Amino acid sequence: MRLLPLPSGALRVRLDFDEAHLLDQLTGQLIELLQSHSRTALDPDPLFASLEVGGSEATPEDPALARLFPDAYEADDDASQFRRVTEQGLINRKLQDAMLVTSELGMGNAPTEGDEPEPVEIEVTPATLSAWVRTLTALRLAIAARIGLDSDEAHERLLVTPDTRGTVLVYDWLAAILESILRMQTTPEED
Amino acid sequence: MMSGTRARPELRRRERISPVPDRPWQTVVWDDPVNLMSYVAYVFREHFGFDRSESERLMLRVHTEGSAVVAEGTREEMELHVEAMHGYGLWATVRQAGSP
Repeated sequence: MRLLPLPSGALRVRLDFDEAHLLDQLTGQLIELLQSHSRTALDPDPLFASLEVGGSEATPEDPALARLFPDAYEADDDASQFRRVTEQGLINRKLQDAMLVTSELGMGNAPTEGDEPEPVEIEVTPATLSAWVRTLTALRLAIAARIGLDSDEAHERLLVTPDTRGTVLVYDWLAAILESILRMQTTPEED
Repeated sequence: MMSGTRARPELRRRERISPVPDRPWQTVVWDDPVNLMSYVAYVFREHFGFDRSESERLMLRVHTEGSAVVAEGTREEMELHVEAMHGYGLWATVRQAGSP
């Protein structure tokens, strides 16, 4: 992964083919997870989709979904009521973000056999930044919930456990991408 | 950010009587082991429009004390903030000031 800030305020991110492929696969899995929890088809109008009502009332059983859609209140009644009016809109917005990432990665076409797979270059613009950082975060939250990474100590332990080591490395790699994008985002006029 | 100020049809939230009307409501952001400190500070700048030092101060409070109150106001306003925080993947809750 390499990053280059552009004069326009955008950021050029260059990923090796394998990195782009992995990110595309993970984002695809996130989309499937979100769709599995969605109660309606995604409205093609982004505004209507983001205002959609009709979420569930109970905390999701899947730990990844439970972390992506946490309770907003300590009291169950209030938490259920909040979830009912906000959850579907949140699902839809997370779907829209993830779909933007997938489409920007443009991995639909597999490289022709025999060709050297080429690196993938994307531009993260001020307009697409939030979709990128939210999606990278959603991926990290979902992965952490799935493998029980809930503390620094768990991170160390899971990293040396053969079954989870690969997943932790992917999780750390996503953190590195996110951190780099955020660091490049520090523009002089903000300080 | 749009998500912070979006108008919402009145019908969407049932009329509720707050148990102690004179106490403000709060948006609480909780520490979690996943979100990067730089990301939490970014979200505070982006959503609440805090300057860099205020965002860093609140982020550090979340990190060292386990949680921080990042906004106070009406219940409806706090719910919009919490919904936005969930949109960013932060762990946030609504509570009334003085709650245990």
